[in-house]
Amino acid sequence: MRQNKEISDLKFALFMSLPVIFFLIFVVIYPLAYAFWMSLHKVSMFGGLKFKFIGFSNYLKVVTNEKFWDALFVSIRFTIESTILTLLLGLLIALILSKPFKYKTLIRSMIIIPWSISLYGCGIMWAQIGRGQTGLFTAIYHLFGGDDKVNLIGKNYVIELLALGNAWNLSPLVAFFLLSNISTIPKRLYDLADIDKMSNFEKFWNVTFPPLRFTIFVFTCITIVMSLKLHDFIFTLSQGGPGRVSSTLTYEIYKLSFKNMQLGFGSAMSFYLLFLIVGSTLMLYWLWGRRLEK
Amino acid sequence: MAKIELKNLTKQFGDKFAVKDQNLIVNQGEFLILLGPSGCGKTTTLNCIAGLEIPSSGEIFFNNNDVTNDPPHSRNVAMVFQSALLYPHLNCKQNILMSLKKTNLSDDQKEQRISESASILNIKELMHKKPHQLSGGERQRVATAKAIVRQPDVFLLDEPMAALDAALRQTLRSELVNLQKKLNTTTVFVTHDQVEAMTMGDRIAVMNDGKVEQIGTPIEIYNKPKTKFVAGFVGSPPMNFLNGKITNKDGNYLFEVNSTMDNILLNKDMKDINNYRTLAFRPQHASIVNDNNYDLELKIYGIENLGKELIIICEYNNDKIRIITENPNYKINDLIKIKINKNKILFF
Repeated sequence: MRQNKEISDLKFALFMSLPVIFFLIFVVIYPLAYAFWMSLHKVSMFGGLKFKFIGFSNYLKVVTNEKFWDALFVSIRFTIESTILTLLLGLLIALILSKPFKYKTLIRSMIIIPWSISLYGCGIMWAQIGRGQTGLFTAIYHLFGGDDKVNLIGKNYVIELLALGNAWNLSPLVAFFLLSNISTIPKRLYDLADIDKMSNFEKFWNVTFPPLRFTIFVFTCITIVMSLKLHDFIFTLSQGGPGRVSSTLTYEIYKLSFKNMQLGFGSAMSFYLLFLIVGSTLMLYWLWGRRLEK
Repeated sequence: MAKIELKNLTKQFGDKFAVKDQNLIVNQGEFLILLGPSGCGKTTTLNCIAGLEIPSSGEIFFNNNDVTNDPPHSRNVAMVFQSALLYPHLNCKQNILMSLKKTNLSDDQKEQRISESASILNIKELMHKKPHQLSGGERQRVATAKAIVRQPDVFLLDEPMAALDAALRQTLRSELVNLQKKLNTTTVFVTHDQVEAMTMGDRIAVMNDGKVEQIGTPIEIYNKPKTKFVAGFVGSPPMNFLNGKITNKDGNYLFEVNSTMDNILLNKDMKDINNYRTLAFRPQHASIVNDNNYDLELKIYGIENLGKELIIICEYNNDKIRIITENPNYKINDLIKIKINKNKILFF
């Protein structure tokens, strides 16, 4: 009788991950390599697809391009606002849901709905909410006796509206993870805090918050990445407008690559976005995450 | 130091009574144990004393001052919780300091108090560690230091050793009693472990169903249990119970065990003839005999060898009877004859 050959844990692990490795090669590594290859070429579409090797001059062209810097700052502003709003909203929802109240289970399951809506749909909805003629803010303003319209899809507040919509979509997920953290806190720790005469804020800071820190760190990273690469929501809400006011780096890359068909230039810019994403998360880990692991 | 007095204390959750009409006095400097099974209301009683729970009715007095509605911190109590709860993100010193944060002591005084309590509990070298880096026993010491650093009037402990292993529990038991006697702080200790209760308390209050069934010194509780519940709860191995009735046959008083033909000859005059009663005796108050002068014949169900003695567990009348013997030559399914020491039996 043939005996089954024992294989090591590592080999078994590799074997079991083969499908996903193949999958990643096709959907990540191949496009990434192809994009890098394109970024080294001038790609022209008229009169047949032609690639002309130009080395790194696309990369040089990006950093001397004013649109790149504008888009970079829009991206950073949008990402910082989104991250702060998402985490604050998530924390607030989690804190509210951690308290006992009537119909808690029902409300807890309803809270997840914003997260389950496609960003494409969210964009259309938030466009309706933010627009001057149809918008929620105009209605509220009128309720308090105003007679002007409040248009948030203008040059002043469109990025904040985008960040708010983004946070509305992402925060339920954050809330759920924080809520599961909160539910692991021993109830007796609050009694200990009572005996130590802590105020409500001190209780939050010394009892509720510490076990949430790692989740908050993880979701800060996730929100930063999600916000930096966000496209469909911006596409349906503001299309980068008015003008280029809300045109983030992702949206600018989309316009350059698929509207202006400057595939080489767009690819080069997308690598700057990649550096930004990887760099910001690494920096966050270096400054913050490492301390939490101790 | 304070005398604690509970007057008609009642705590209701919905329509369920956790504590019902409880009266209890804890004397100054006393180590009182609240003993009972889970759900008997002992922790709720402790929470009311601490001020973590406001009673539904009744009053609580510390040194004759009504503190029923005072918040915990104004009662000057200290509490050690189950599994020695500490703030997980703070190191031991910061944890202990938290107890003093809202006091009017100067930083020097605080520092001095902390180092005093740290040296009493021998934890000076642990001060910069975080709770998760400590062993169960170390955490217990730190939690105790955090409690005593405040120099409380009342020291409350809620099953502080429940999560520790048996050997460690044994060491900590005497340490804690020793510390309590040294500081002479009124202490209320909640436990469901009757060994802890017997070995640590000045007095034990046995609780059942939201009420104190009996309060007394460990010896009183052990030798003169007032109710069947107390008798069955205190003592290890537990007391044996036989249900039956007392009869008078030709001037001899007999105990007829229900649904058997067995009679146990009693050695003194009994009053309530023909009433159904429960006869109770401790395992060490029956002996295995070889002659025909025996009370019951039993079949061995299990044997627990404790080294210096054995606990013989017999099945009798759908119940278990435990006998202590030093003879190791018994086997499961052997038949044995036992004689009960009639001077030690109790009736309920």
